[in-house]
Amino acid sequence: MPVVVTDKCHNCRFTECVTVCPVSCFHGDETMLYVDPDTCVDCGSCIPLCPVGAIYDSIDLPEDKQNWIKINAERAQLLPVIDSKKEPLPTAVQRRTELEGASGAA
Amino acid sequence: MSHPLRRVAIVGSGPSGFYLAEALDRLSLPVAIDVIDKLPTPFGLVRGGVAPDHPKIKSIATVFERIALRPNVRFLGNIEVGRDIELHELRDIYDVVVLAYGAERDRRLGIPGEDLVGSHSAGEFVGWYNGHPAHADRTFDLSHEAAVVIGLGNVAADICRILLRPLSELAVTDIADHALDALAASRIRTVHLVGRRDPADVKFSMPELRELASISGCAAVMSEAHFSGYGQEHSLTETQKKNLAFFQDLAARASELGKKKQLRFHFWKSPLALVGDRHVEKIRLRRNGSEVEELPCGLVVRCIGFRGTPVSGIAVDETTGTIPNCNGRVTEEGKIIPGLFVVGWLKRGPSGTIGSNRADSFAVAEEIAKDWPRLPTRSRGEDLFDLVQARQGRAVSFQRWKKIDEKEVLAGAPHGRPRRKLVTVDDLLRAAEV
Repeated sequence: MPVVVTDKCHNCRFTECVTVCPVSCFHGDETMLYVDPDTCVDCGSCIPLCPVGAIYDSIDLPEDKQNWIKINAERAQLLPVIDSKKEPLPTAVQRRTELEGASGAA
Repeated sequence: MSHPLRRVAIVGSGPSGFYLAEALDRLSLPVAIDVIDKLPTPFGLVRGGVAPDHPKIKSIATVFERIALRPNVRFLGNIEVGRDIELHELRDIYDVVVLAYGAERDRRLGIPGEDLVGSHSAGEFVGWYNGHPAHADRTFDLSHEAAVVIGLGNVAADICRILLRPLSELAVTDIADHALDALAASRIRTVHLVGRRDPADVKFSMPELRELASISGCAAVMSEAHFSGYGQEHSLTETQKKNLAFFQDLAARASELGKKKQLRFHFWKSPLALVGDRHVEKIRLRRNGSEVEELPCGLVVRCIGFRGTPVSGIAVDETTGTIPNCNGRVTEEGKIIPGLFVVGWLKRGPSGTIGSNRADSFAVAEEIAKDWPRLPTRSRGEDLFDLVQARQGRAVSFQRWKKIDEKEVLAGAPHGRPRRKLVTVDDLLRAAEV
């Protein structure tokens, strides 16, 4: 099962994931990344690398994030491949702090 | 300022070599890249290491194929450094030489009985089922009920699956014919997967671990009946937490009676000795540094890591198994050897996924680019392919490899298999029509 990028990537886009993707299956826009499920080989290399835990193996995807399977498939078709490291978005560090706070409280 | 065309040789056509070729090609430097392999076939561990029941991972080869077909990249197979060409000759032909030939030597346990019949290294077993010419004629005794696989990483996981999967599932893969025949007659019912680590610290990737617990017809069980965790979960990393949860879940599972085969996970156990007369009969383990336990077995495969092999005067650090380097620049007694680089397992040691090599090779390409303006021009314009053709006449270009590829794929098609591998260098060269 392919991996899925979720909304936690939104406004972060650290792009650590793209450096280890063996098949360059990440696509992206100005705010986040998406995985092309047809190209992904399910190796899972990217999952532990994401600083905010935004990438899930589809079988681990929480119920409230299931919609991201479809969003990844659709958006990846429309956007260019991102296969080398980019500067994280200016909002990334703040966003990570917020996400850490949210998961700590949960 | 524009730079003159420089020529780069990459020794080894596995993931680290091809990702480096990709990275160099992208730097917009005037560069011609030759990716050299001692085998007639390209792609290193993607062909000879990745398990045959992982066809998606094997499909990464198509990425390397695209790289090999770029106008300034060549694959040159069946050329071995030290046999067909010396390293110092390569260094005269090319401006930059990059060692990317991986870690082929197995680590040893260093315990009594390690050389008994039935005791093998992971490299031998993996090379055998993948049809690597160096291992194709090996034999493994699969006639005993129990086997032991030592190590808690993805190589060990692959070997367990190959030993335990239903034959019908292996028969549709590109596993070597000789391995398929041998596994058809296998009497192995139990595989003990043994390691010193704690369940939280296993090196399997999560997808590999899940696969181990869901082999059809095989129950995955913990050898510890009362495993529950240790109550210090708060100090664990995310990966450790996931591992622990996985094994807690496994331990809590109802026993899967009725399954013919069994995979048993053993933690906190170090091998003390392999015991037997001529052939291994059992393994002696020490648990948690105290109790001693013995497991009867007829096959032992150690998957405890690999080391690089030295080449033409370039030494390998025996502790790390890697070539000493400074961000990829090969060093000798702490001094950088200009124009000589190392990438992949030979640089970092045998860990990480195929994709780890991409990040690493891209980083080394950046270092090569930094040195680029200062590198002495060494290339005398000689062509390696011509030179080797004059010496042995059997170098394999990418077009020649495609002849092998087409024949293998064609031979596999009637059997519903992705390919049927040719497993001797002679057969491969014949298929390449060289």
